[in-house]
Amino acid sequence: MRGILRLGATLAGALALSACASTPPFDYSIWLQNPPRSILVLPPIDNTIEPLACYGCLSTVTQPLAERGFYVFPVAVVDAMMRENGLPTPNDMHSVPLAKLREIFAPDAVLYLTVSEWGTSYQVVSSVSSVAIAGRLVDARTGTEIWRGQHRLAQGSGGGGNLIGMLASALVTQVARSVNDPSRQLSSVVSGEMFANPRNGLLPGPYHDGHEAALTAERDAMAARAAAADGSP
Amino acid sequence: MRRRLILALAAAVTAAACSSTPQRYEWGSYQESVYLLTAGEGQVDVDAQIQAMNATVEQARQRDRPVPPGMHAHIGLLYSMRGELDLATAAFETERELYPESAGFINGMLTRMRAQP
Repeated sequence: MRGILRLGATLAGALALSACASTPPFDYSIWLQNPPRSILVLPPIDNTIEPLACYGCLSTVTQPLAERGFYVFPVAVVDAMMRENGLPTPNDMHSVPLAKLREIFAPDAVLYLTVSEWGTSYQVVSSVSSVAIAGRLVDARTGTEIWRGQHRLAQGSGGGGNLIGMLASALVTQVARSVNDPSRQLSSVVSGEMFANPRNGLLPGPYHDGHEAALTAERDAMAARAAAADGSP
Repeated sequence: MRRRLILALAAAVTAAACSSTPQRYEWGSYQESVYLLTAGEGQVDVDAQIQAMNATVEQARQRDRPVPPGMHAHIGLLYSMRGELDLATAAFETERELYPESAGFINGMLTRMRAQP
């Protein structure tokens, strides 16, 4: 368990590294016209063959979204309501018209997620897990897309030296999968990075201490870009 | 091996430099409960979930930290699964009180609950 956690921390660090360095900044001009307070997250569409990908992923997105400062509708309640009302699959839920979602939940924005990779492939003495998630945030009134993002992460475990250690590592990984799916842990890092990356994640919401400052900074940056564009021939 | 170590070190330093803010909310077992409830195909032990969630609420109170958005509504769902509609109603009302953004959703749900026989 501790070994898995340590790997996760290293991964988070590697992610932070790439996030700080290379990703292009997102254009938040549409976001700033009507910054959302509340987000309705629908269960992700699952493009993998893993039956647990949809709900494994769904259970890792509320935390980073809420910590980013948004009201996040209770995802299990939303899922149960949809299923009880004749919408058994994420595909069904994603096709509900915005007007209907507004009528029932009254959100500011709706988040549509897709999981395209989820799971662990086991080799003889080690394994590789990967999780890839993409998301679109849509203004619930206009249907305009105000943000989109995606992130993928792969994590190897095992292979750390002697053969007995490697065998133990493969065994531990398989046991851990049944109790506490390592893909879920990976998914937490992926969604955290996707939503909270300062360059192309979500701008901080109203419950975030940096909310006002971030919006002001982004508006200033936009004005500066517009002024520069006017100034050049 | 050495290269891996250096990478890990560099990553750790960067992580410390550019992320890792303290959490605002007391999460307790909320996210795990979401997983068990949605992925459990009806196999979930509702009583155990109610206990775990109430323990999280208590922990938040002791630490004087807010509970995350959605958590009291989640507790309301658990109570409603057990048929305890008064407790479910109280939990939904707490959600609405803590997070006014939920008012439209909660009001509709309470109306539908009252309409049930």
